Amino acid sequence: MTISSASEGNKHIINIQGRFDFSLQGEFRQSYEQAAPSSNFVLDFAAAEYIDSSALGMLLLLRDYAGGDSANIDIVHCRHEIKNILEISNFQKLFKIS
Amino acid sequence: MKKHIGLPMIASLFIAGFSWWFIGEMTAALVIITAAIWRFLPPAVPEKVNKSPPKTDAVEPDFSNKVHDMHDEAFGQLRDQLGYIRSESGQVNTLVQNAISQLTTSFQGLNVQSDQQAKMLLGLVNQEEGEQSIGEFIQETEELLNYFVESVVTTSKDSMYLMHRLDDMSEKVNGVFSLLGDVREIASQTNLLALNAAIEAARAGEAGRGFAVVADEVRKLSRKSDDFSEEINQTTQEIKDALDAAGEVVNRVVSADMSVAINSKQKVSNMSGVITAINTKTSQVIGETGIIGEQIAVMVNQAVTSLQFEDMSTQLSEHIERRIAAVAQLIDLVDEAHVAEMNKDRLDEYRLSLTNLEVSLEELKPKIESVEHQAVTQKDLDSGVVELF
Repeated sequence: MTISSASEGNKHIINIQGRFDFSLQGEFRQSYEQAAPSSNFVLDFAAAEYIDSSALGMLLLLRDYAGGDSANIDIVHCRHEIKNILEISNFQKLFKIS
Repeated sequence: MKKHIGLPMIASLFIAGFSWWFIGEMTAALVIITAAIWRFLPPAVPEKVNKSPPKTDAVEPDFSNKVHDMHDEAFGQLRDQLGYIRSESGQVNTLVQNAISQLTTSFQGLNVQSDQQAKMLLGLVNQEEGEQSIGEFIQETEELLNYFVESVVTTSKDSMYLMHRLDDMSEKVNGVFSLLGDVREIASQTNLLALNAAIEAARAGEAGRGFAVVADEVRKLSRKSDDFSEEINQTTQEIKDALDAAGEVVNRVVSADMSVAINSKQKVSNMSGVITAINTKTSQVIGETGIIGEQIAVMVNQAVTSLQFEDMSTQLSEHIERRIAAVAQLIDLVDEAHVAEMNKDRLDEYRLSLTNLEVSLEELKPKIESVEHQAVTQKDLDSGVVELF
């Protein structure tokens, strides 16, 4: 498993390891659909090495699942390259990135 | 005694000649000359009035001639020197005026060059507008890049949504497979049931013959049902394969490497920074050069203002001219008096010339004094005061 998730109260933490690309789409979808849409989703990118555009699409679908503009999603422990990609895509306006 | 009068007079005249350039000393020289002349003249008057006997003429003709010659020589020298002074003063004046004329031309040239420099810089500023279009180009590139990224992200989202739906369909197809299994199970059981019915019909003998036909038909139906479910299974499998193929296409569409966009954006951003730096530097240089140009203009103006000393030097030259004229007039008067003295028989003429000398000296005094006063007020060049008279 390159994705693991755990819930602590309302907080639903999803850890992503290695390459976050199309191959993870099914796993990633499952990892958030098992939590309630109103959860506070925390995506831990500490072990993520790479993301491509499909990952961006997946993140936006998670945002839709979590209520769109009312979504509560944190993306944490981003490495520099990944943060660059998220910012060039203007994701800092949609997610709390750190 | 007369011999002693002539030598100091010549000496004083030479001193006057060499010190002409120093206006103050000119006055001193004039005083000396005047004093010498007065020392030379007074004894001549009483001499003429008191002792008129012609004896003296008879006694000292040689001495008198000698004095006369010296007098002529001294006065000739005096006139020559005055001529030189006048000519050299004129040369100095011309030199100064030429130099000033050249300097003024040079400074005007400097001003023109400075103006041209300013115009060239203006040309640079106009080129700036060209650079602005480069800035616009970069901005457009940046916007295009943003549009590209946005488009990629939107496509990704839609594609991933499509992928989710494909996955959902896949799930449903899997459900169909499960249902088909159930159908085949039913068919298999029906087949078994028909078999049992056929056996029971055979045991019943003639009475069961009709039932055996029914059992056989049911068996056929179960086989058909089995075949049909197999067909559905195959078709559903094809649907599943098609869904997988579609998923592959989505995979290809959605998996774009974002680092390309990142690199491009970085390059555009760097270029933008470079252009901004160039613009800043250019504006700075233009500003500095403008200030330097203004300073040059101020300095040139100061220099041109300073060159107005030409007016003062011209005035001073005129003073010198007037002093020379005064001295020349004095010399003429004294010479005239001397000639009259030498011709003592023409007493009336001598008296007249003495009176003329006295009057002329009185007339000269205020002229010299006025020149003196003006010269004093014009010693200060820095103040740039030009006395008009």
